[in-house]
Amino acid sequence: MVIAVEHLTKRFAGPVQALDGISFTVDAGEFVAVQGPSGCGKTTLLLIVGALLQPSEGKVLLDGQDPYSLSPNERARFRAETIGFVFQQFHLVPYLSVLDNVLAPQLAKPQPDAMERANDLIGRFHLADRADHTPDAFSTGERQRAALARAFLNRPKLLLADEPTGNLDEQNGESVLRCLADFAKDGGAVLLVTHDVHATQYADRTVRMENGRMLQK
Amino acid sequence: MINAILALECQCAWADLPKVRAEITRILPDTQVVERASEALARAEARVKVAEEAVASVEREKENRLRLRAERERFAAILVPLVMVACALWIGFLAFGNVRERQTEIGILRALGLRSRKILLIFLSKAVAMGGLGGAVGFVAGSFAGEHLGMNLEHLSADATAAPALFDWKILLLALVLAPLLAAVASWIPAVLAAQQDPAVILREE
Repeated sequence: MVIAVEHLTKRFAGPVQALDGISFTVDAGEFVAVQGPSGCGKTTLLLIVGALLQPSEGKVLLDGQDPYSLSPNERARFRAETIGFVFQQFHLVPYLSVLDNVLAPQLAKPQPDAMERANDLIGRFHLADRADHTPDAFSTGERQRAALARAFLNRPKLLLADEPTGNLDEQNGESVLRCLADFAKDGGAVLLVTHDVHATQYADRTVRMENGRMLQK
Repeated sequence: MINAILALECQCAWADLPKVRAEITRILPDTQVVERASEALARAEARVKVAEEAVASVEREKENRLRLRAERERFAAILVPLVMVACALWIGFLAFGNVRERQTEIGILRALGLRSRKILLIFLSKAVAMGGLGGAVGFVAGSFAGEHLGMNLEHLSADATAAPALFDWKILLLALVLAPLLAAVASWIPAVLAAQQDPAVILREE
């Protein structure tokens, strides 16, 4: 299992309980979509599984390792080696070229073949002709493809996607979902948080969340 | 018959003329003693006095300039640290602004696995690079302004009253060391804050 979560609870300051005893697993090669209304705790779940937010209670194992037992620096390195992120807002660095954006993860985990791999990914995502342009010259679909290329650079075992189709039209949205499904077919694990109803067509499994709880598996 | 005797180079320019006359009358009675070169004497005396005054004037000018330089150095000893503190505060504010502007970028880089130390290094490197560039540009601009805006001091003599040369490699090197150092010190707290940003908080806010 790439993700194993047990009795996950997250409380924020005050009476806010974002997650309430969530347990689930995601295997290698599996594409799991999490759906639910805004504020139900989807993004909090993604951040905790992404080794970015310490849970209040419960246990998270990623590729057999509890990231929260590591020091902050070790956890950062673990993230760089294990997890790829895709966000709704793309979060590309605006003043860097697309090539440099795709290469950004190698700042955390330098690899000798990073440039070659970045160019391969840029070619695979049909961005090769404008690799030296900054993101503002790209459409939203192209920006999300660049963000996907960046997420794939370090060959992650797990891809976490937070509403990656939220800002895209149907065609670009489906293209992104296909990329995620292809990543899972190649042996990676995908956890997708989304409102997009089309996601269920590409996901191996869809789970629903409400009020910090998982309703179905 | 001798009707006149000229006393040449007699070294009696400041001698008492009646006394000279009395002595000559004692040796040569009925001799009329006349001072023929009084105008030349007056000119000689004037030249001597002018020379003395010139030396005194140069001395007074030296003293004035030394006093002026000492006053300026005292003023600079107060002003320069104040300017440096003001610059450090300003750089610090700019660095804080930069950290705020780049919050999302910091969040995403941290999420991608960049260690906080690397974020700190990125911000400090930028501060050092900008400080070095600012020091170099400031030095060149200051030298240029000094040379061309009425501060040309080349005419002064090379003694103790002379101003230091405006373009000095040692001062340039000092600027290239001190300016990045000042920028790094001023940016330290904002850089530490950037490095300590919680990516989860930033990404949740986004």
